[in-house]
Amino acid sequence: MNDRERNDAVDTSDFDALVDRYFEGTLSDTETDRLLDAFDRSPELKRRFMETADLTFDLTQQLRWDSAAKRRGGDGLPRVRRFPPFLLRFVAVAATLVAAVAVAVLILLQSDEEPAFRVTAVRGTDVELSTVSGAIQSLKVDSLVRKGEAVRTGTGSEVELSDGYGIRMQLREHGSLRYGRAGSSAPPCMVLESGWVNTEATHRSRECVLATALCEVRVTGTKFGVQSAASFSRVAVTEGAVNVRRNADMVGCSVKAGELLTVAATNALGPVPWAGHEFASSFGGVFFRDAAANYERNALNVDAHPLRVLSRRPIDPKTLSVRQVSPSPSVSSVRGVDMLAVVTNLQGVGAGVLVQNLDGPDMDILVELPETRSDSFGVEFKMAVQSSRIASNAFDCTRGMYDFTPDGLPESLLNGQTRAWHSMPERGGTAFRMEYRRVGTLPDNRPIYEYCERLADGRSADAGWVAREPTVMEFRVKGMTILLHEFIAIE
Amino acid sequence: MGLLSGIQPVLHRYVFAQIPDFHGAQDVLQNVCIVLWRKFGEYREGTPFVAWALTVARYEVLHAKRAFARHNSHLEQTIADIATEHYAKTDPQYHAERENALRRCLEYVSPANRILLDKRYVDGKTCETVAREDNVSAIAVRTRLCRLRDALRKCIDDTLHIPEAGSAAEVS
Repeated sequence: MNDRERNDAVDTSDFDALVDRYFEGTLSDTETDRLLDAFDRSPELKRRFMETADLTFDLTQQLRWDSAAKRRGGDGLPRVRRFPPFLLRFVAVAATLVAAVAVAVLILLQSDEEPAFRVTAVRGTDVELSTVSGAIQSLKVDSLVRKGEAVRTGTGSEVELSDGYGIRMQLREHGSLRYGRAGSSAPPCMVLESGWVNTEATHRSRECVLATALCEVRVTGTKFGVQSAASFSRVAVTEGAVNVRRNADMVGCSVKAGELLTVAATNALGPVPWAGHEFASSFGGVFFRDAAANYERNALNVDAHPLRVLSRRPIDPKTLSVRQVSPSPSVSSVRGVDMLAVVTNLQGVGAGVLVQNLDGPDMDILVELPETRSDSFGVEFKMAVQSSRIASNAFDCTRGMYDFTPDGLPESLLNGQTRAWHSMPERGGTAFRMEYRRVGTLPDNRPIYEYCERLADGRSADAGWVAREPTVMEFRVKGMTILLHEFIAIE
Repeated sequence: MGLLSGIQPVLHRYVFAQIPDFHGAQDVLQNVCIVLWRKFGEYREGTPFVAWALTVARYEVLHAKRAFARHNSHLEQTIADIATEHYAKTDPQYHAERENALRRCLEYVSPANRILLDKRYVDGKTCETVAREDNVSAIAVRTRLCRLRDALRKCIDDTLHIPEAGSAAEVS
């Protein structure tokens, strides 16, 4: 009997109803078995299933598109605008010119006024204006922020300010931004006392200085973000360039688009490229905001719940060596009783932790992902085996149960047996070796596996994940030196 | 990246076959695109790109199902296998032509049938819900939908083979 004949023997209307239920999401257990049975019996029905899947997809897409177009009151196509007649266009251009001249005159008349930033947008209710005398006032759209006054934002609140000359600033939540230092004169200077401010300065003729406790950022026509934390400041530039100068030693540095600079009390100043430069891209309908904005969005939460690298057992200083790769404010602590490092800032370019366990017993290292607000926010870092004396030891042995047979694994694996292979192209080719061990069998004979990933000596690979809740990643280290580095926030 | 954008519609279909919820599938597709974008450097030129992308997508679907606490049943694995085999061989252009044909065929659907299709595919209602609303049996609704899909399928086939003819009468 060929496929077509076998298919004829199957009741296709019953099959179609089952497929319909599958796409509805209302398939019962009995119906699931019947559908599986149908697939087993006839490859023709598999083809029919995919045909229905394609048609269901096309119908859903097309009908939803039609429905949306109907709601917009048309055929969904962009509207074609007709140009007005010549006379009308002439009048419009003339009116625009007159208006432009009037605006220019008004600006000239206002130039003698005391400079001030105007509040252009307020989000949230936890915002206030602190006056020179220390009095607290409410803040709303069109409020003026004069010299010596400070804008403060609380949880979930943001304020946007404009100086009317092309400088726009956006103070994010938990921030404080003061206009001008006490006793300071021109150029206009905003002091970021805490938090994060995004700045857009498109008007090059008017210089703007954004200062933090540690440094000054001089604008040369750009878009950039600045963060001010207790022990460091950070500048990330998305367009143009800025000049940064550290207050303590007056050392200066230029930061260009795509670069990130961390200023601490004594670190060597040098911009580095963003590790997550791809965040500035737009692809496939997914728009990534730039890394700075992305980092900023999650930074506060990460500060409150830092990423911790822990050891399961108390650290034995004779056998386990842990050190920071380079001095960085991102890794705030190295070595405790069971604490290897605390990573507080996830754009920690250059930050890393080197763990060496050449002679000691197995050491289980945990990397705890902090709780995050966003349901699509995660952390990515690279792990690399720098040297290994015992090649067969597990590097990453994350335990997880699979109640199905992974690709490439023979069904014949018996309980307790292990099978390894290098077939994870999406994990860096043969850099990873996957090992599955069958640990048991479900009542319906489906196998249960646990898996380990091993990273070959001298190889490096990404080791990040997206988590919607606090999560732990576990590594087993023995006889090797590993490097955990390039912690970045991903969205 | 042209490679990636070229097969995105195929990936969307692939994910939808396994996560039959249009918005849910879109979310997973976004994750697939992120992973593909990030790991694009690992793709070896000369090897089938679609197969590589489908492997990545398969793991993302698996990840999504784990996130939604959906167990990986035998059915899901079977459907993943079927979908992988199907889409590894399909030409994206084929789907584009069928989409165009469907658009034309839908013009011939009667208003009553169009309402039924909207309820099922736009509003995402189950046949049972539609049956309750219309005061008819669920079996009747399901049968009517099956016939409608068969008619549309035939109309699409006819349109693609004989463009000027179509099968208007059969759809309405």
